[in-house]
Amino acid sequence: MYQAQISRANPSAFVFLVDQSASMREPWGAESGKAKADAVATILNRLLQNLVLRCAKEEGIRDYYHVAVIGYGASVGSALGGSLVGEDLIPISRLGNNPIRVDDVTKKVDDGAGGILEQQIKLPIWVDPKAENGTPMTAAFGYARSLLEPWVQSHPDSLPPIVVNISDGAPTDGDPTAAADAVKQLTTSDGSVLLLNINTSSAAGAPVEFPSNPEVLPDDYARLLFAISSPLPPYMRTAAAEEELRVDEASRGFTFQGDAVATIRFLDIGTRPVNMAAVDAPAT
Amino acid sequence: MHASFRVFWDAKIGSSPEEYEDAFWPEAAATFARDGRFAVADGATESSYSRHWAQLLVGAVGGQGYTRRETLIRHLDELRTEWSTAHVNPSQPWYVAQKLELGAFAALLGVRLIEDARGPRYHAIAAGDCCLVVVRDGAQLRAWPVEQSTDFGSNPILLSSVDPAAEQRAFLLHDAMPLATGDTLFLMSDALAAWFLREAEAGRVPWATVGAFESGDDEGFRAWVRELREAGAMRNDDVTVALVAIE
Repeated sequence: MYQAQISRANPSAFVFLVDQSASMREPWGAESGKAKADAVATILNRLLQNLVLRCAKEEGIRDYYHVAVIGYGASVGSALGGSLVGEDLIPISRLGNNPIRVDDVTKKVDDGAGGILEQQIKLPIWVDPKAENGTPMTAAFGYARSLLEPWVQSHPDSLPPIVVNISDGAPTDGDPTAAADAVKQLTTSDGSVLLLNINTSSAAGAPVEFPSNPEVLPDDYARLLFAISSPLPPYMRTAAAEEELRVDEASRGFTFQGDAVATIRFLDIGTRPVNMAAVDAPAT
Repeated sequence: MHASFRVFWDAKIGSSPEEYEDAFWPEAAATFARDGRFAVADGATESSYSRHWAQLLVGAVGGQGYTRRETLIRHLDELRTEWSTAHVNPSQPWYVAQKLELGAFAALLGVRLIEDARGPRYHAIAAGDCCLVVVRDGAQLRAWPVEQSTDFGSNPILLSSVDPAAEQRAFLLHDAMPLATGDTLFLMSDALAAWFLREAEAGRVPWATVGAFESGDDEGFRAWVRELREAGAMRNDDVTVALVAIE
């Protein structure tokens, strides 16, 4: 299980569910001064950039993945902007070739001789921050299922899709457990769809990463998201262990935190290719 | 001493032959008297233009004769410049430009055969996980720089097309050994080398299997590789083996 090789003939899929409710305007833990919605949009844009780069070759972007970014707040639907408005699960080449804009940013880098160099870098943007209304998480899981049910039928031997839900907590449309279970019940011949949850917290305490015991979590909402998170498959446990995180067979794909760096690490572990035709650089 | 060279290769399943990212030198079967230069390189799949980088590296060893470790290091920066200038294009999409900045990566194995008053021998340089196996009298005499099959799989340190040559000095290893008439050298990229060493460790004779392919039998070789991949005995990756027989 979870060993299928990712290739253009056998791609995998990511569905990112992004809480865009009003509470995402609040500051985010250690990232004080930055609203959760802003921080999450930044992290998502960099993650999408890295996924595109992983698939990019000289001739273009190879469709190793299909990707959806679904926002839930005032409504539930694609959070992609620009020419991708309204588009759900799309080949990564379509994503990579159609950002809303590409920002030019000046980055200061070490010149290797004790000085600082200014380097121009290009940051593609696909998702702008948004924060309004409630948290229709149950509807978001239903939306994810509606995207992935036909996808697994048309990709029966692919590495199972991964759904990543990023939220600050309390659903406003009821208990999402059954809807989350319906997503996780979708399968390919290589295993079930995996559901990972990132609980963005306004508290600046130490992050909880890949816990195996809900008792360590501070509130019922965190425990709810823990309960609906998939146990980590072996390849993700290996990736987490490589990052020197303590994981065991009961560890869930869940993190509770207010720390952008740890969130990026969680997403990196959760989206790292297990067995890609384009293997992780710089392996050959 | 005479040496005869033949080479077999196959692109990974799911890729076209144009997407094959290993490289080898010479480019076709050949025979050599007294002196010969041979190379195999394996471009990293995730980087862009890694086929070109692999081709530049084998060309540096085989064509330009940079077979000594220090000589190759001295010329690496020229190769990097050649690689970069070939691909810079202001109108390219953001992801092509960013992949160029990240550079291409490749493993390299270069072998030079020499015969002088001390007799025939080889000098080899290597970075990463391409592997040289020397077979003598029906037994594996040497596997280098990867010595056993379990050493494959971790991320090898590869030559970068953007990092300064000085930083890569430590990655490039050197080896030398006397040779005898009848020896066969197998220069392999990692997927086949891992299978080869595993078979040898199990007491089997992979050199006989690979050595049975006659020059030009590309279809036979590819059918055999396909069977190994389908049986799960070989990782799905580009495959290259160059055989150098000492006669």
